[in-house]
Formats: sequence, structure tokens, C-alpha cells
Amino acid sequence: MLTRLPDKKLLFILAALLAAAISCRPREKWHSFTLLFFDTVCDIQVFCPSEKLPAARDAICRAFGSCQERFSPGSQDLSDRLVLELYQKALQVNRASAGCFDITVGSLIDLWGFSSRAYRIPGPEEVEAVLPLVGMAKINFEENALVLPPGVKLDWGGIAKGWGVDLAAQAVVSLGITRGFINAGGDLYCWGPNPDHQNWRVGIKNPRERGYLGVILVTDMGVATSGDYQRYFERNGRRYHHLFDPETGYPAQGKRSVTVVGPETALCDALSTALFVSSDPEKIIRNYPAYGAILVDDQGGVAAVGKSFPFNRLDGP
Amino acid sequence: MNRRDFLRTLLAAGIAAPTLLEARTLRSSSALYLISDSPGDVLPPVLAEIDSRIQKAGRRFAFLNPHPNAEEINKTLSALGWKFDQRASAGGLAFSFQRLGLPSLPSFALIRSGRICDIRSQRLWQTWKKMAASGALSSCLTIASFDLPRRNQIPGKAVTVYADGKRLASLPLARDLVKPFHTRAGPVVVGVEAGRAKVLSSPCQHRVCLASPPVFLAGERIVCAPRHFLLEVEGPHLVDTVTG
Repeated sequence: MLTRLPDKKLLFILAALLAAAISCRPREKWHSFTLLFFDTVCDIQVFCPSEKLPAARDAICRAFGSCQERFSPGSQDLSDRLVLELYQKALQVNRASAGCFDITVGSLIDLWGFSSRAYRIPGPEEVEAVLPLVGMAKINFEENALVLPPGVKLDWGGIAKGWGVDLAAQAVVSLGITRGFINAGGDLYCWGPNPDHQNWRVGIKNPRERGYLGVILVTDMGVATSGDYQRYFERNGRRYHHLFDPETGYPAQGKRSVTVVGPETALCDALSTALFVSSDPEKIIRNYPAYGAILVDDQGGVAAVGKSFPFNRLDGP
Repeated sequence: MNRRDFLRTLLAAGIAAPTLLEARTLRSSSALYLISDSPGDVLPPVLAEIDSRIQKAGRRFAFLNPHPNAEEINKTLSALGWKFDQRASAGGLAFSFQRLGLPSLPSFALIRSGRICDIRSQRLWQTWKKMAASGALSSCLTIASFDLPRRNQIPGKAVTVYADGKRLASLPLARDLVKPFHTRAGPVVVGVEAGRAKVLSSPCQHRVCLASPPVFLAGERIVCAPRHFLLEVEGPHLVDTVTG
């Protein structure tokens, strides 16, 4: 008994030290905030101590800001390191998709009035005249810079936002934040468990009605969607959207939306456009074994291709 | 009787097609198929389970064709607060009756959008087992058609207004109102009418916010990017975040 008394004291001191350590440790909690970049609302939810939040917000703003600055229409330094890096990613998807994804559709975007919002249906001869300006093979790479032939115009809209999300997520994770999501207008990356300690529930918008088509359950993944309902105009009951088939110069037909899930949001972003445009999306996704997609065809039919992820249909027949 | 047997019974009775067709003509999203000579006994527990999900515009019921147990059903539902209607109305319960050619064990199935709902996780499972255990055969099939709200559409209770990243106000959707907000970029007027919120005026260039349809479902938003202005309907979300 005499020898046990000091043990008890020691235990008490240890317990007190432990309690002090726990109480001194910054308390982590969920923080949500909204930013406006890329002409859209960006939702962020992170699990971290309040003291870390300003650093996280700054890191996201820096990542989004540098992407927005470099890849907005008309503001391109074609020798910038980030521009060249993203060009390489875009080129890789362009090749893997047999040209279905192409960042040189800028002149088509202009021709159809999507850049000015003065929407119009160009005549066939106008489309024919612009097609020679489309095609990534036309971009030259000289002395560490991209060189565009006269008239060729880049549109990074199909990949830059996703890449901004990747850069922002990397920056936030490097701060030691282990749970959260960053969603820039539908292009998102989520990591760690959600507030219910489950995988994140990502709702896929129904392309024709209010509400969701379904919910995918993912974590440590990027998600991006391309749809004919995001930017479009209607003439004589027909819908003309902004996802152009680089081969024809007309909006791609046959699908309402494509959602891609995979490790990199930038690739999800680019692949969602490529699969939307392609008539054989399965062939493209086979080149990306870590990626899967949910396609909604023009009749409302839903199909999954590539790697499968848990998907709960909400509006199913 | 398991679910497969139940369907087999319907098919064997040669009535599946006409009954399904009949249910579809009602444009109802859901139907309760009930084999029982005394449907009045089974309806209370089933309705108790689905009552909270039936559209509240309902709580009225009607018979689409003569039903031998109409009086019993009428009495049971009246006791539960349902009102009889001469004609089927949207959102209510519509009963129809079919005589089974081959008497079968009492049973029921809930069918939603053409698919059988899994009831094993619900209290209805006990009711199902009790019915099947009775052993007495029945030749009376009652079909109750009704609408369930879509699972992915939950109306919100309030709309929150943000400008320049700051929360300005939370407006209840239950009360009609018009409220101006002074943002850094100019005044924006928000209106709530009949439970739906919308932007009534904004000096922004493209007027996308003004053209946006009114919002009322939890999570729905109206965004005015140039004005850094955001309306968001608050409420329980089915999802953590959204793509598309």
C-alpha cells in the first residue's frame, strides 16, 4: 500500500496533464462559406479550428484567383507555367477523346454568341468558315510558349474551373485540413468523411426538372458535370447549348448531361465535356480506369460507364 | 406470401395489366395493392405509415368503381380524419376494386412509380406477417392510388439573403413580403409570395437573377454574380453538395 500511493499521485498528475492538453488543443468544427469566382458561386465547407479558417480562405482565394486571372477569356499569357501545365492536361484529354474535348472552340463560342450573350444561330457557311480555326493540333509549342495561328481562340471553360478546384483543395489539405469540400459552380472536390462521418452525398442536378437526378456517395474524389441546361438559348422550340462538337461546329446532340467522378477535378471537368460530345463515351472512359460517369441521354435515360461509384437514383422510374 | 408470390397471384388472376393500367390512368405516383376481405382492418396501419408522406392537399378519398367494402372503408377512413368525395381529387386516395379469380392469402404491396417499395425496414412488415399468418384465403383486391411528394424535393421554411459574403437576413417563406436590400453595388429587392421567393428588381446588367424562377425547395438558390447577391432556401438537405 505504501508504494501504491505515489502511483496514484502520478496517475492523477498524468490525467490532469492529459486533460490540460486536450483542453488546450484548438477545437475543430465545421465552417461553411461562399466565394464568388469564375462568374459563379463557390461553396466551401471545411473541418478545422477557427484559427485556421482565414488561412484556408486565403489559400482558396489565391488558387481561384490565379486560375481566373490566367484562364479568363482575353487574358492569356501563353508562356505562363500554369497555362502550359493546364495545356498539357487538355492536350492529353483531347488525344484520348479523339478531339471531342478541345480548348480551341473559342471562335465557335463567339460565333454562336455565348461570349457576349447575344445568342444567334449562324449560317452553315459561317460555321464552315470558323471550323479551320478549331483543333488543338493547330496550336504550336515554341520556346516554352504556346503559339496560336491567327484567328484561333482558346476557351479554357471546360477544364480551368476544375483545375482551380484541384489547386484550392491541394492548398487546403496542405494546411492540415482533413475533411471538407470545395465546389465551384458544380465542379467539386471532397475529401475525408462528411459531417455524419460518411462519404459525401453529392446530388446530381436533374437536367430538366427541379431537384436531383440522384446522389453519388464519394470521398477523396473530384466531380464535374457538363449539361445542355447550363448555358443555352432556345429558338423555335429548339435548344442550342454551349457544348460544341469541334468536328461539326454545332452543339453536340444526344445527351442532356454527363457527370464524371474521379481523382482529379480538372480531368473530371474535361472528360464530362468529352463524353458529352462523343458518340462513344465508353471508349473514352476506358482510357481512364479511375474515372466513372453517369450519362443522361436526350430521352432522359440514365446510364453509368467506367468505374462504378455508389449512385442512388432519386427520380427513377 | 412473399413479394414474388404476390405478383404471381396478380398475374395468375389475369388482372395485373388492367389494374396497373387503371392505376396509371389516375396519374398517381403510388398505389397500395391490398388483398383482403376486410380492407378496413389493414388500412389504418398502412395509412399511419404513409400518411405523413401523402400530399396534404389530400386527406380526401373517393371510389372509382363499386366496392363491396365501401361502407367499411368509409367508416375506417372517416375515423382517421379522411373525408369522402364523390370524385377522385388530386392528392387524395382513390380506391378501385377487382375480384380475384383465384383466392389468395391476404397480403399487400406498395408500388411507387411502377416499382414495389421495400417495406422490410418499416413497421408495415409486422402487419404483413400478421396478415399472411392468418391463413384464410381472400378474393378481394383493393387498389388505393395516391401521390407521394418526390423524395428529392423538400420545401424550405425560410430564404436567407447574402450579399458580399455576409448574411443579411432570413425571410420566412410562410409570409408574403417585399424587402429591399442595399448592397455595395446597389439596391436589390426580394419578394416572397405564396411560399416562393424571387428577386423583384436588380440593377445588374444581364438580369439573370430577375429571370430566375422563384425558389422554394431546400437548397435552391438565385444568384446575382455581378452584385455578389445570393438567395438560398434553408431547410433539411438530402445532399451535402451539388454538381450540375
